[in-house]
Amino acid sequence: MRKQKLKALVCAICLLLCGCSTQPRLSERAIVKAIYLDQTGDIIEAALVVFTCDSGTDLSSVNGQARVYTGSGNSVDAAITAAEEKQNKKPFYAQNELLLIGNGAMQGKATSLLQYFTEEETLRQNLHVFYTPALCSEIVAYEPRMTEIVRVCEGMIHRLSGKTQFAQSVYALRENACGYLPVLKLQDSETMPVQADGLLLVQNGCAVASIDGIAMQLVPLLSEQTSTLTLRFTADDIDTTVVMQNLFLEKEIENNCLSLRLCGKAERCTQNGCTLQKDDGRHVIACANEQLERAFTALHEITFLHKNDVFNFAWWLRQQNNAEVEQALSDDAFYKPQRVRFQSSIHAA
Amino acid sequence: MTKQEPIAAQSCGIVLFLSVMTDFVLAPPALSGTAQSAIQAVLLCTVLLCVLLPVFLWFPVLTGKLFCALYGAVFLFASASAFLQIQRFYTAVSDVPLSQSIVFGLLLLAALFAVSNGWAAIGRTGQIVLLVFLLSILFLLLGNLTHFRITNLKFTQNLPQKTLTDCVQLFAIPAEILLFCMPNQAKSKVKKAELQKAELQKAIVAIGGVLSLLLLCAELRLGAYGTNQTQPLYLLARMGGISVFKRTDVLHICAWLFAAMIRTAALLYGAKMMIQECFPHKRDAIYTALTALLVTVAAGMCSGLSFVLLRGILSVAAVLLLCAAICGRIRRNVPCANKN
Repeated sequence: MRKQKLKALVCAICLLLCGCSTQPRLSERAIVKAIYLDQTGDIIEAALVVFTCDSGTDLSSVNGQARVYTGSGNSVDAAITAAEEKQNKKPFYAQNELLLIGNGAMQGKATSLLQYFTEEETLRQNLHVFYTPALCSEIVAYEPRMTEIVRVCEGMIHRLSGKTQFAQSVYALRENACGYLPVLKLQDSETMPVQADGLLLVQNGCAVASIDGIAMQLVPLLSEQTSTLTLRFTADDIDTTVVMQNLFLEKEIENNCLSLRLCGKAERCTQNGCTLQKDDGRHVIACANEQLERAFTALHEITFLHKNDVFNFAWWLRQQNNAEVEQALSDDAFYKPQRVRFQSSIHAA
Repeated sequence: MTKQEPIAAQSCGIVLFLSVMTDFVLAPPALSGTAQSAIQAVLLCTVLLCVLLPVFLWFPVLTGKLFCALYGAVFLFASASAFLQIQRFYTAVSDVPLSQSIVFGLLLLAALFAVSNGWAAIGRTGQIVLLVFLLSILFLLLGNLTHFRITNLKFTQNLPQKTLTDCVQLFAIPAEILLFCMPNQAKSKVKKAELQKAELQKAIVAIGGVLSLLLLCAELRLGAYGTNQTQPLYLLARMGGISVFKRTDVLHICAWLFAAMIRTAALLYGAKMMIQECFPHKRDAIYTALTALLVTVAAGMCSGLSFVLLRGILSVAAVLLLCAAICGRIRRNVPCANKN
């Protein structure tokens, strides 16, 4: 019995020991929900979108008014620290899912900025990276609407993650910072303070082109991050919509060339809001196939043919003959138009 | 020889599984960077351990104070290494960590409490912890499942060379195996020894399978980014989420620390038993205090060493002890107790 009491006493002491460290209370935390970064010359500007909450509030339901704190410095760390020091609470980054990169940072300097976020352990490595043409001062100006902006952006990430994922994680972009970033535009609209407006193609940390329209819709398909597509285009001067489902890319490798065939079914074809019958539908589907092939050619031109293999075509070619791919890469003969062919073979349901 | 609590065959397998898994999860060895070579190395190590295991079990330890002291030293250093692993992992993953000495003190108290309850309690708790640990692994994989990309898998050049390098990094003889061929185990019946061997072999195969799966999944999710990560599985835990739960890493950390505690308790149990053999007929409190003191000293000695080096030293020590046991048996012409 005495032994049991001793054990209980030891356990109680252990429990008390857990409180030895000075743990900051939740109300003493500044919950960072978004980070904005931009670069002008050698100066990096950072803006932290911070939420605070009252004591007793659950961490998952932070509902306070967002505040924006800015700072600048010679490095990302210095800029973020300067922004942190503008307020007196301990920053908490574990809930942050948004990283907004400004225009200045996309002029060839994004690689080092992104590298900071992949190496910093207090941050989430799966932050979603967005591009915004807004300046740091504009972000501050939008402070009264920032709560709504963050909510819309987070909704966008979760919606996109579930269905069509345009946003890439910071770690996925790390290797030479090649990839694509969704473009976010802040606007004065009452209903929609922020809008996704196309994709920005990034190569070696530098913005190289914009992707929009059908080419933008083709991006998640080629990245195999979606299997559905709603195509809107004009066929014979009529507004046409084709809803496609169960899409997949069939790959065939022959003579060190990759043939991609987009297969799937067109579930519904409409023109001016009217559902088309079979024969008319076939014509529209043929137009849709043509549109997709044209979009691929345009996309291929700005990505693969510019040595920016964002869709990892080389990986599939390596499956057949890795040595040949390596040889072609070293001979600068890899990124050729005939290396990857695309055919759209969508058929009626 | 003092009377020891027999180790149940099933507990052996569970403790071995949890020990090797936590060793890998908390302090992963630096591998050459591709899942292909790492998986091949894991499979090779699995086969090698399965082959070596019967040898260990057929030649149980010799009795005598010298041997007990040597075995005790191996257990002490292995448990010190396990303590340090937990301590460093906990400090690395905590937002506001406690000081290292407090962490060590708490872990030591918890482990000593487990040891005082005996092997049966450790084994039974191990069964529950195994379930929690496996659930953690399952949720870890499910949480990352939608982000797996086949194009993240990397190509390995010089595959045989890299496989061998990874083998050297990965291969270790867990000190826990020595725990299962203690003198009292040698005296046990042939049927039980066979059962124990079967359980341990099952555990080794399960370790090989789960490790291969984890390595594959880590590369499918992280791709090239995972190459230089010191804690790729913890990174998976941080990134993965299920439904609206985006940060489940705290739950994973708890499950992994529980499993690591089972390992530490088992090793400390072995150390205490050996101390008991060296200094018989003393009070239990003296053994407990001596174990705590010695493991603290061992931890202090190990604190400057890398876990890979410690793993290597302990494996070499285990092999040397095995060789000594074999030589001793041959010289004395004593038949192997577990042999049919």
